[in-house]
Amino acid sequence: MNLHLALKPLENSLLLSAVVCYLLSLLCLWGQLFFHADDSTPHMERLHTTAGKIGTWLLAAGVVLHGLSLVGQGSALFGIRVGVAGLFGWVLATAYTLFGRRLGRNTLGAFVTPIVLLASLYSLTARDLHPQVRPEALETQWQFFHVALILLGYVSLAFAFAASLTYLLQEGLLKRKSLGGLWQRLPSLQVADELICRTTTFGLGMLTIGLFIGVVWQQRYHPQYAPLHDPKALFSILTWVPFALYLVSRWWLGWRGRRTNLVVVYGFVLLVISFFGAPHVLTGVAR
Amino acid sequence: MQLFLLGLNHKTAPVEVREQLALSPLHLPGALRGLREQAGAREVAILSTCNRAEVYAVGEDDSAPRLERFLSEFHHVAQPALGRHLYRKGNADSARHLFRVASGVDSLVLGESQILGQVKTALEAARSNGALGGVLDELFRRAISCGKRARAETEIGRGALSVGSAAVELARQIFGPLQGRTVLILGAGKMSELTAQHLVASGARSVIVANRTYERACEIATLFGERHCAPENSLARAVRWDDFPQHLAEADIVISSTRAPHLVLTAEQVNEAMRTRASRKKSGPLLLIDIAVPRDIDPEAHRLDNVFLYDIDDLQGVVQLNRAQRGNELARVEAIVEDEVAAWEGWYRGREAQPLMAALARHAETVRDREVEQALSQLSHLSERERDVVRALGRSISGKLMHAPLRYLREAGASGSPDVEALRRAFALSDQASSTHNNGAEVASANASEHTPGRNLASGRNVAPEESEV
Repeated sequence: MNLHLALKPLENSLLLSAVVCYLLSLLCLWGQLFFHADDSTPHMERLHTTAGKIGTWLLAAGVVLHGLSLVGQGSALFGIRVGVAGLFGWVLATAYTLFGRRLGRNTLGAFVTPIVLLASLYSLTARDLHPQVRPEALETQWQFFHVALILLGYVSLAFAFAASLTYLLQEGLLKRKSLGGLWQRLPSLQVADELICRTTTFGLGMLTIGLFIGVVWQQRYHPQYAPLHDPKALFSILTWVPFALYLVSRWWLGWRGRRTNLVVVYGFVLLVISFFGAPHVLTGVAR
Repeated sequence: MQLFLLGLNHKTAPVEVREQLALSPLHLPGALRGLREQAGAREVAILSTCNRAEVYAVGEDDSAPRLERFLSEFHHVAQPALGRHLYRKGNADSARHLFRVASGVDSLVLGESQILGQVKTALEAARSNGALGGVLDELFRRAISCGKRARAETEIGRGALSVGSAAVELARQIFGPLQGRTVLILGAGKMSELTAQHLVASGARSVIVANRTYERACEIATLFGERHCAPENSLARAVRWDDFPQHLAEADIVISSTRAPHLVLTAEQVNEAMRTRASRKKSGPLLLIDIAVPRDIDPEAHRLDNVFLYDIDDLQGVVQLNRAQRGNELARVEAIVEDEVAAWEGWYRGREAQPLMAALARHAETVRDREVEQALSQLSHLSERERDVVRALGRSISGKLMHAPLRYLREAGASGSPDVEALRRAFALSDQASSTHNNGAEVASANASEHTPGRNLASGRNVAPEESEV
């Protein structure tokens, strides 16, 4: 708690420096992938590798700064949308820093970092909101699990989205027979495909359990609560559908390839829209 | 006594000449023996591949023409005809040439790695036939390490350079690791066999062969099972030509190289196979490689979702790209070669001084032992301990006197200074004494005598002054 109080005044500047780190990291990781993409002379290869390394380190630095700023914000903020967005960005960046290399040739970062950057930028805009947050926002354990599980689901689906983008890019290069430098740096189709499948399955699972807990919690405290009349719940079901369709088409119909992975991309876009479009992140809690 | 090289390669000689000079492992011992006994080479090693035939030898300055004569007789090629294609190189140039060869920059296919193994084989063959002395052994070992360095420090060996390896590169971009993949071969030609061989070597598990004549398909499948697959997962099998569309759904990679003048695989058939795969829940991507001219597979198949079709031109494109990339690495490899040549020259020159160093040390020992024993014979009253002191004194004086000249020789030798000869004359050492083929023990003794003074002095300090005045 002392750490929280000590960091509270620094919260904004820490978040700002984290955002700067994310931005620079993004530039480096994009440079690694797209700057003179088809030039694979050894000199350029070394340049790409260096850019990738610097980008990864900058991302890690951002994770640390952002983490400290979150400690400064305290748990109350997680009850409102901006707080959740910031936390989501941080968990995503942390997960990538920890597991990124295993997820495929260090190129996924170029697709994950923009999401991290946007999420933390959004949370940066909410500086003025912080004093207004009611401290009792995270009132029960139910709510904590509800938020934590949905957050994990979002992070996992964000990975699926990033992997889908690498898949679609690689697939496009293979179809256009553009077999230059970029082609060799992206993960192979099959590897990307398996990553999409695993992260979507996990993400959807978390999302389902999280939503279920949310509904049960609401009904317990508000017995007259009807999920089908709650726009937030309807939005959640709406975002749930595309990922479920993806898994059905894959497991039961045996579909693979561009079209099924496009569903994941649409699904994530829908998820983001509903996150901003839905009236509340947590029904009845935050404004 | 010098190192030289006689040889020809794909740049200097046509295949008709090269094949005449090619040596089978069976004839190699005879040639090595002949070169040493008849042509008078002291050390000799032969590097014989399909693109080159090279003789590296250490011998007297005039033995090069004798070697050339021997080669022309041994291979039954007229000497003038042979001489036109031969290159002859001296010490540093021979080393540079071998280092470049081992690095793959003298090869027909730039940066290919097979040559490194061939250099190793040449070294082992010469060694097991007793044709090597210190110089060639060192030269070949340095060449191998230069070749390894070039490949580790530069990108000279990177990227696919054959249609087969380009196919593997493509397959890896689609499938990742190829473990457990199934390859279907349509048309049992050499080219498709080679490509499939690359894929199997990279992990593909089973091979299905379809050919118009079923017997030929069986033949290839059997050969494949025996030659390229490990016995425990020998899953090569032949199918009848008319049945191949049914097996299309099992395959992950299809290689087609029939001589058919028309398409043998339509987009509709591929689409059908993809649907079957989906119903079997095995619907990963399908890679079609069409290396036939005219083409075997309908180009429209490439438009199907999850189907990737590449023809011979696409694969050649990958190869061209990699070749261009390797070309960019040439300068860096040449720099490594020059570095290694400089190190080699230092070693080679230093080695020339080594017999002289050994002779000098031996000379000092002889004089010392003679004088000490003479003095001791006149001092019969000395105790054994006192005699040891006298001997230690002798060692100390000779060691201290020889220390500076020996160190000078080693440094002068490494930098190729002509003073080596002057020193030989200054100590009145005969040519034979210093040019005998030195062995490790002699050099060791020369080095040891450099370090003895300190030790002897240390033991001398315990001796009373009047005793050591003898």
